[in-house]
Formats: sequence, C-alpha cells, structure tokens
Amino acid sequence: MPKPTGISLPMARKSVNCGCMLKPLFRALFANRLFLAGGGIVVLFALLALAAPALSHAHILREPFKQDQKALDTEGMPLGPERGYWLGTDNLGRDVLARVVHGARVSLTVGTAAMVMATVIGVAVGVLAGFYGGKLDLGLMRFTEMMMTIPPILLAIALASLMDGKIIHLHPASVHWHFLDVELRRGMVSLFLVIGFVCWPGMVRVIRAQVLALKEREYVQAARVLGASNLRLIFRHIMPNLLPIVIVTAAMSTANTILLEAGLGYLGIGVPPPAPSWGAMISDGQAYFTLSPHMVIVPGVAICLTVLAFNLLGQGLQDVLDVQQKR
Amino acid sequence: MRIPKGLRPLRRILVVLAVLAAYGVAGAESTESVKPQRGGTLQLGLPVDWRSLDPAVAFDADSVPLQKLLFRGLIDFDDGIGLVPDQASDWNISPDGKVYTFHLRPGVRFSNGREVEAEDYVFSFERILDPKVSSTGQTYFLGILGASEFNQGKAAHVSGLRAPDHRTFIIELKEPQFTFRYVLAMNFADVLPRDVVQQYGENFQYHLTGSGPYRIKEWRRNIGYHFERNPYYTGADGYVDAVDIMIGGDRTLMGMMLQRGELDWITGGVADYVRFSRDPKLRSWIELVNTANTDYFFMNTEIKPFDNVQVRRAMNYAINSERMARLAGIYNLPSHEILPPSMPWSNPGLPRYDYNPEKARALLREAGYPNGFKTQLWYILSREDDARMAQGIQQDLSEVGVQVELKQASYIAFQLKAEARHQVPCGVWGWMEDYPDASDFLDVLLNGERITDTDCNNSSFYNNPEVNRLIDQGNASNEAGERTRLYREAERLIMTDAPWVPILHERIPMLKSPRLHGTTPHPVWLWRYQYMWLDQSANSRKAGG
Repeated sequence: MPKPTGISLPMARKSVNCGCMLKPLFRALFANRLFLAGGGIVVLFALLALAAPALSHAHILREPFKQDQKALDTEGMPLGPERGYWLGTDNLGRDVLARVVHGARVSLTVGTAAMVMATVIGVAVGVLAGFYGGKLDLGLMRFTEMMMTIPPILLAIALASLMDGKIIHLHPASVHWHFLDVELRRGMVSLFLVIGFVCWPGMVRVIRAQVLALKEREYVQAARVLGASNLRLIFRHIMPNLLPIVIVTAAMSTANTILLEAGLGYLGIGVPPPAPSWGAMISDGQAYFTLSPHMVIVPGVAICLTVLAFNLLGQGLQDVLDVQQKR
Repeated sequence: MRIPKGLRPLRRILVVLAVLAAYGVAGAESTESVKPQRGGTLQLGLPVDWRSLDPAVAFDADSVPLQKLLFRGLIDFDDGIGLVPDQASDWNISPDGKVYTFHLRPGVRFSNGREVEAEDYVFSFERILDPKVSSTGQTYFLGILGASEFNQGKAAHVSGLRAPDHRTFIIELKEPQFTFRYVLAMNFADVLPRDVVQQYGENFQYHLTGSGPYRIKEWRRNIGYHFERNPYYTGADGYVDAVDIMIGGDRTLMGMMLQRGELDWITGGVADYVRFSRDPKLRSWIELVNTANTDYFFMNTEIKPFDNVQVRRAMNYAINSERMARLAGIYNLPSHEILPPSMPWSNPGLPRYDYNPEKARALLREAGYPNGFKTQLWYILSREDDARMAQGIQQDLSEVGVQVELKQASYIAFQLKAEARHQVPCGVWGWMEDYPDASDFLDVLLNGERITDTDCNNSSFYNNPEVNRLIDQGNASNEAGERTRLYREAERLIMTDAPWVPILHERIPMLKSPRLHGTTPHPVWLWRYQYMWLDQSANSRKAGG
C-alpha cells in the first residue's frame, strides 16, 4: 500500500453538493495529463477485457485455451511474433495475444474487486478508530499495525494455499443448512478475497488521520451541538469529505492489488489453469526465456503498463482533487 | 524407480543428428583411450531437494545415482545388464533357487572406519522390512522366508536372513524368484552400519554412513551438499575428489551456469536442449540418455468414475499421446504400452487406443456420463514436463466433456498422496526400470496383491485376480520363454482393463561441460557418477559458448 500521501486537508464543507461542483472538477481532470494518460490506458484495457469473449467468439481474437500443435515450430518450440500470431504462441501452442487480453479480465477484475474490499474495510476501520477514539482506536490501530507487520506476500501465499477444495460447514452438523457451506476453492472469488484481506491495513492510517482532523472542524462541532447523532455525523459530514482521499488511495492501491495478483499467479497459486493470468504466463515462459523471450516480455509489459496506468491515474486525481479542495 | 524431479520427419532427423553427435563425441572419447584422471570437484545441480538419501527411502532417478556414491552392496550391474560382485567377493545360488550365499570381501569399511560385517547386511535388509521404517522397498523383499511375519510384527527377526559368521551372509527365499538377484543390486540392498543406525534412529538421515567411495561432509537442506572421499574405500572407482551439489534454481539458470563452467552435469530443459542442438559449438555438450521408462496418466480404480472400465477406455481414446509426448519434449517417444521397448521388450497384439475423441464421447455416454464429469488431476509441481502434459491432458479431456481441476504438489507431498488409498482420483506419473525385467513394472505397479494402504506403488489400486495370477506365475518361473509369455498376457489384460493411459517413454537430455568425461549412459543406472572424471588440464577449461 502507498504510504500516506500527506494530502492537505480539504477546506471544510458541510456536505458535498453534487450539482455545481462537478463541472469544474471534470474540466480540471481532463486537463490533467497524468489523469488522461493513466485513465486512457485503464479504459483501453478495461474495454479490451470486457470485449475479450466477444472478440474471441467473433474470431477477431483467437481462443485463449486452444492448444494448437501447428502453432509450435518443428522442434516443438513456441512461435515468435509473426503474421497470424501477432504476439507469438506459448509452449503449448496457445496464442499469446489472446491470452494476454483474456488475462486482463482476470487481473482487472481481481484487482478492482480486491481494491473495493480493501477500501471498504480500510475506511470502516479508519473511521471507527478516528471518530470514536479511546480504547476502540487503540485496539483497532494495534490490530492494524499487527496486520501490517506480516509480509503481505507471505500472508497471501498462506491464505491462498488454504484454498484446496475443502468445504467448511458454518452450521452445526445436526442441522443441514447446506447454503452455509463454504467451499474453499481456487478461483477469482477466493483470490480477490485473499488479496483484499491482505491490502486493507495500508488504507487505515491515512483515513484515520483525515477523520481525526475532520472531526475537529467547526461545522462538525456545530452539528454535534445541534444534536446530530454520531452516525449522522459520520455519514453526512465526515464520509463525504473523505471521498477525495479515498478515491486517490483506491486508484493507487489497485496498482498494488494487481501486482499481488500477478505475483500469486507467478507462484502458481492464483487462478487455476487453464485460465490465463499474467503472472502464470510469466512463470510458464521462464524456461523458454532464452529461445522465446516474448512469452515473458508480453505479459510483463502488460503488468507494467497496467500498474503504471493506475499510478498515473491516482497521481492525476491527487493533483486535481487536491487543487480543487484548496480553491 | 520413479522418474527424475523436473515428429514429423524433420524433427526426427534433428533428434537423430543430435544423438549421433553426442554418441560421436562419446565414441571418439573411448577410442582415444584417455586414462581417467583422479581429482577435481564434480559440480552438480538439482532443481529440488530429495526426500532422503537413506537407502530405505530414496527411490527416484535423481537420488539413486547419488546414493551409489555413498552406499554399496553385495552385487552391481556391469557396464550392461549383467550382474557382477561388488562388495561380495563371490556368491552362489543353491540348485533349488531358494538359498543365496554371499562371502564378503575382506577390508571393506564404512566411512566411519568400521569393517563391514555380515550382521550389518542382516540388519539392513531387516530394516527395509521393518514396519516402523515403512520403506517403499518392502515389496521387493517380501519373498524372503519369514519376511511377511516380521513385516506384520509377528516375529522379532526375519528367519531367512542369516549371518553364520562375520564374512558370510545367507538369504533364504520362500520360493525361487528369478528376479531376486536384481533386487540385490538395488539401492534398498545397500549395507548400513547397524550401530550407527541404532544410535541415531530416525535421525540417521542426518548422519548417513555407508561403504561407498564418498561420504557427506556438508549437509544443508534445500541449499547444497558436499561429498568428500571416504578415506576407507578400497575400490578403484570414484575418480573425482569431491562432489558439490547445488539445490534450487530452475533449469534455465542451470543451463547458464553450465556454460559459465559453474556446473558440470545437469538435466537440460526442453528449451535448452533445442538451443544447444542448434548451436554447432554446444551440440557436443548434449548427452541424450535413453531410459527404460514409461510416463503415464493413472486412474484410481477405487474412486468414481474411474472404477468403470468404459470410462477408463474413454480416457485412453481422449488423450492424444503423440501430442503429449511432444509437449513434454520432442526427444521423447509416444507410448501405447506399459513396458518400454528399450527394456528390451515387445508385445505384439496389445489392444491399442489411438486418439479418437468421438469414440471417447461414445464410451462415456455408454458408461452413463453423457455430460462428462469433473475430476482432479494431480501432478508434481517441479517436473516441468509433467506440468505441460497435465495441461495438455486437461485440454484433451475438456473436449470430451471431462472438466479437470489441476492439483499441483511437491514431489514428497505427491508421493505421499498418490501412494495412499482414496486420495488421488487421477494423475500424471512415471516409472523407470530398476532392473531389465518385465516384472519390475508389472509386479511392482500393477499387481493387486501388492496393494497397501499407504506407500503403495500401485497408484491405480488396480486389482485383477487373473492379472495377479499371471504375474505371480511369471515371477516364480525360471524359464525365459514361459516368463515372457505370461507377462505378455498380463500386459494385454492390463491394457484391456486400462487403469493407465500410457503417454511416453522418456529420453533425458543431459548437458555436460567439455571437461567432464566418463558420461556414457548406463542401461539401468542411466549415468554413474563414480565413473565420471574431470579433465583438469588447462585447455579444457576454455569452455565453448
């Protein structure tokens, strides 16, 4: 997770009045080059990922699972980029371009879902800790710090390796409520849950710091005096003002979740084969690196671009939202 | 033994050229009559650590050649498939074929200095049969008189193992068994010092002591090992002074280290083999080793739906062995039989299941699975060839409606799971001959009478009484023609029952540095480190490439 960015405190606002705020905001966003660059790449990849199955169906893109013996050379080695196979084939005769585009579905879906989960948990913990303070704050922050001392990749590996197909019965044996059976199976769902669980601690400090500051604002004190309940204060006054920082941190943390997904895929504990995953593609290509480097380079570049894109997006958002708040 | 841990006409020509080139170099070496030099350190690399080098435990093709450096036994193979005395000075078999008498060579010592005694052999053999040790080699020794009783805990010792004096070791079998002589050349029959084993018990694997030409000096799990000379060894073999074994690193890395002179002998990966064979300077570094091996897709006949013979035959039609063999490496030979032809073995008239997905679908419908089924396919993570085959099989089976979930496991975990009952529905594995006899495959892997709940080599848990009878009769016979007839019939029945889908017979592309000699492959041991030597003269160090 990125360290706290030290975003300056936004000018206090009673609440975000959506109507007249957005137009200048969007104008500023689209004028910001970082946002455009990052956002452009993200949108492009997202569109490709969404369209991938349709493209394969329409034979514009090949099937990512099809192992074609004719797509290997005379010595059984992968083909390099050439006509017919724009980015070459892999060691089983599958089209690399198709696999990298379908792999975007996996990476973007898992990365985004994990980011959403991490954000929800991180915001919840940060708000509770910052707003209520006292023993709750103490307990939650120590727990968060404990989670942060565990190296994320090791925790992710440990959790991912639990996904061996066991079924956990959340109901007592005597009661046959099988809808409460949870199957620990490898797949996109268990993957984003694992990654989300590993990534939430990074958000908490930033959120909590903001909440601590916001809590002391005059309008919040005023609302409290006027009899607003805690919940109303949180949801009407604090949360909306957290929005800018949450958006920026979320954008940047997506880069991390995608990297973690690729790392787990590389280690062989991401989505199970034959689902294409950028990390697994790199791992498969490692043995062929000296002869067919495209097997490693193509997914590697895809990961680089995606991570870069989200970082640029986050940076652009930070610049714009920060400036906007200052105005 | 278990396999090691990782065409079209033009392709065949290239393979033949590579093989000829390799043999051409080897041939040139032998006609040069260069005398082996003593000295130097042999540098080896293995991608994963072994389970153990304890003779009671180790049983895969990576460990066994290393064991031969540390442990020895009564007899060994010569340069071919003949048997010669090793640390026995002579031996004979009684006319009724049941009693084997060995006289031990005097002056043979363990690496701790103590002389080897016949009592050590009694101890070592009993250890294999000890139910507490649970050795995979048990099955080979159960033919000894009193072995079953000892193995089941009903007797304190094996009555058929005797040491009338320190120099004489006698083995008595329940019935004559032609292949028992081969068992005596296997690693399980190597001798261990009884005092050391008793002292360390389960920790003996950290204090391995044997009568081989080397002993372990440094032992760091998953990092590396260093073998030094056994100062008490009196044999002529063992030319290098020390052996350095690096653990870890994938084959690509090791290929690069080989080219830099940091390793001397490695198993080449598929891509490295092709890269070396394309480069005229590096072609001579390839040593393509024939193995009498079969890699196969096994189905557990005790787990649904593989208990149904129609389903198993459908799998045979669904999997394209030719394509799988190529995916594993173009130097491999596709297989449609249990026993490798290079054993030597032939069996005309075996039922044949050529690739035919339509027929597979029809058989599945007949068997009551018109929409296919789901299953788990297990394979060993570190064996890259198996990983490719597993994905290939997954694809082939998905085309006939069978959804396969791939399960990877480390070598040790895979072995524990696949050899236990009701654990693994199907998987990819392999077997290499221990000795050049059909019973080594049929009896060890497919005889229902050898099934145990754990450590069972018969990972299909295949049990056909008719096949068991044929194999047992073959084992008991001493007449070559009759044994061949019986084993052929057994193989035919097995292929009809189809507990396996045979995939390929492996050839291993070994890569060696130019300063390494004595790498002529051996038909049983594959390669023998004790006969390898390093050319330590200056010009050999200018490695090509």
